[in-house]
Amino acid sequence: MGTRLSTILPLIACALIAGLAYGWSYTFKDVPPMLIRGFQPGAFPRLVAGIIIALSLLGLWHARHAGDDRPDALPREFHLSVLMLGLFGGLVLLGDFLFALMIGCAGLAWCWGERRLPVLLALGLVAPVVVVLFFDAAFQVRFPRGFLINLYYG
Amino acid sequence: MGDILSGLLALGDPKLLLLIVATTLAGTVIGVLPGLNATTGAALMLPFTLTMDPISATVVLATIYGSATFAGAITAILINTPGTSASATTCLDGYPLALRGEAGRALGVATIASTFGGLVSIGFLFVAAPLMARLAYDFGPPEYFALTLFGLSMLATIGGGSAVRNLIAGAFGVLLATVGVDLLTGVERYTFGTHALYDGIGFVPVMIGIFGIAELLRQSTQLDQERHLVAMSAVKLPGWADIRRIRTTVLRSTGIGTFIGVLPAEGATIASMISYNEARRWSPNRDNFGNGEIEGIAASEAANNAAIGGSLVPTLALGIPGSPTAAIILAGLLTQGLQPGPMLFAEQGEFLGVIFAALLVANLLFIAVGLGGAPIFARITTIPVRILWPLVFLFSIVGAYAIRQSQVDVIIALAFGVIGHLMIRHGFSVVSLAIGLVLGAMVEQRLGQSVAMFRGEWWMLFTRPIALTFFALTLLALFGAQATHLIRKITRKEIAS
Repeated sequence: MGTRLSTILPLIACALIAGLAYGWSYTFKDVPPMLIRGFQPGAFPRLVAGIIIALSLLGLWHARHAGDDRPDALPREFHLSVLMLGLFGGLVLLGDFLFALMIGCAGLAWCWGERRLPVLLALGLVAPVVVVLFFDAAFQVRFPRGFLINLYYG
Repeated sequence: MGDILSGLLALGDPKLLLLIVATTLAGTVIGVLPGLNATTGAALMLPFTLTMDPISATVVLATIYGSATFAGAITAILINTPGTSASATTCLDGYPLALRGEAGRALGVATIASTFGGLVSIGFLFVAAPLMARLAYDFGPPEYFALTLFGLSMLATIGGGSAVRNLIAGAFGVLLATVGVDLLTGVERYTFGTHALYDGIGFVPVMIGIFGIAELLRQSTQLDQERHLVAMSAVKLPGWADIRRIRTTVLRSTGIGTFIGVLPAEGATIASMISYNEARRWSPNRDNFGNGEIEGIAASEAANNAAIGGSLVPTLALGIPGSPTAAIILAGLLTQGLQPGPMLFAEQGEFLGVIFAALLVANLLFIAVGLGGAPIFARITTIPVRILWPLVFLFSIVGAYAIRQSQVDVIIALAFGVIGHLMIRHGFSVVSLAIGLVLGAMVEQRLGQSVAMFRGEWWMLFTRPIALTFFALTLLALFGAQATHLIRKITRKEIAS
């Protein structure tokens, strides 16, 4: 990515997201005048989105003489960590919460270079089970049912 | 005085006392662990506090804030890595002193300066917060709106990044606060038909995402960083000669730290940087700064701890966070259903007294922790990040889930972790996003009330003197630097011609 592009792309992205939010706000229902407390429900988000667009344009104006501020390349471990977070998110939604925690913890440690089996077992097995049981017992947190959680809840 | 007494009496409750001691130790561990700081620590503790009563919850978060900030000095001195960004300037003189075999002396100075700064600022908190809250009795929706707007405008000066990008991040935070069903009209906004978003985006998953998960991703980019613990003898209290040398610096830095803390959104990091520069400017030993000057350590540590009490003043009295960590404390109060301001002190009479007493105990504990426990806590820094951060991840995720017991909150935390990392990488402040999110609902509600109050004639906002003052301060915060620059340029041109 060119140096100028790395400076202006985030601002363009901000303006686009704010533009979408601005447009989407027109889909909000209007309420009868007697129910309005100040303004219609869409007015405030439109105001804020408008401010973001204006600020992004101001940022782009400032960036016209921008120098080289390209961030350093990200290492392999970072990409693996993001992938692991994605896998974890998928397992939370589609699989079992405890299993997802096990894979997430051990997977992250593995991605970051941990290869000792006892450590991986402690992180991927013992720690998630202890934490889940602790939250369940101490704070009455009920975890979503899945094939592993069901073993506990019955 | 009665409030102080009732606060101290509340400490007679062994549960509360134990809670303060435990959170001081937990905060110290958080402060010395690589990558974790007071803000991340408070964000991670937030889910736990929601099971407590509001006073205990605030005590826990405030104690974590104080102890994690204090503990940052331990790693700054012993491994040249500030445990928190507020201790970055402590490295400059602490580590060279430690390399000379005087780590014990450096930690002793840091402990005394931190404790003094902390104690003075909590005294200030106790006096100033009710006074400020009393002033706010005269505030109506227009004044509160103008004040909240001023708080948001201060985001422009957060950290060292671009003002425009900080403001964009803050505005996105405000926009996020509009997600969910509008409570006044019942209209859905940005819910995309998802039932889980009807109540809006929760503070806790977003905070855990942008402070916890984003930091995890940042840590993954610096796994090759090595930390070397400096050998040290026993930590010792500074002698009279050292105290004489640092006393003026400590007093000045405590004043600077408290004042910077009171300013909306500015926190301990800026306080320590300004204090360090001022100490160097006024010191007869200025040439020794950066080479192990104890005045440098004292300036940084007195200021960053003094900023804590200062930052809690606007947070508790007006509902405007004085620092990033104070924003999390504010989020905790709001999630508990409490509205900071005059009514908080009226309805929760012993609130301030207990917080005062808790911070008093925590600051006194710093002496024991700093002098006795520093060598032990310093060993914690040697825990490999590849073991530490998966555990942080585990607590972050379970914490994010626990509040509403919603899997969507887990996904929100993960998404904001990635968003937060992208923001930091491209110079957008995640602190601005957090403060915008916390203040967003307030600013909309107060603007709506003001417009309704003036029957749609919004320009009447500018006819109220207090509101007008805050609007002027907002303009000053946004354009003050540019205006000064322009005036200087014109003056220089005139002189030249």
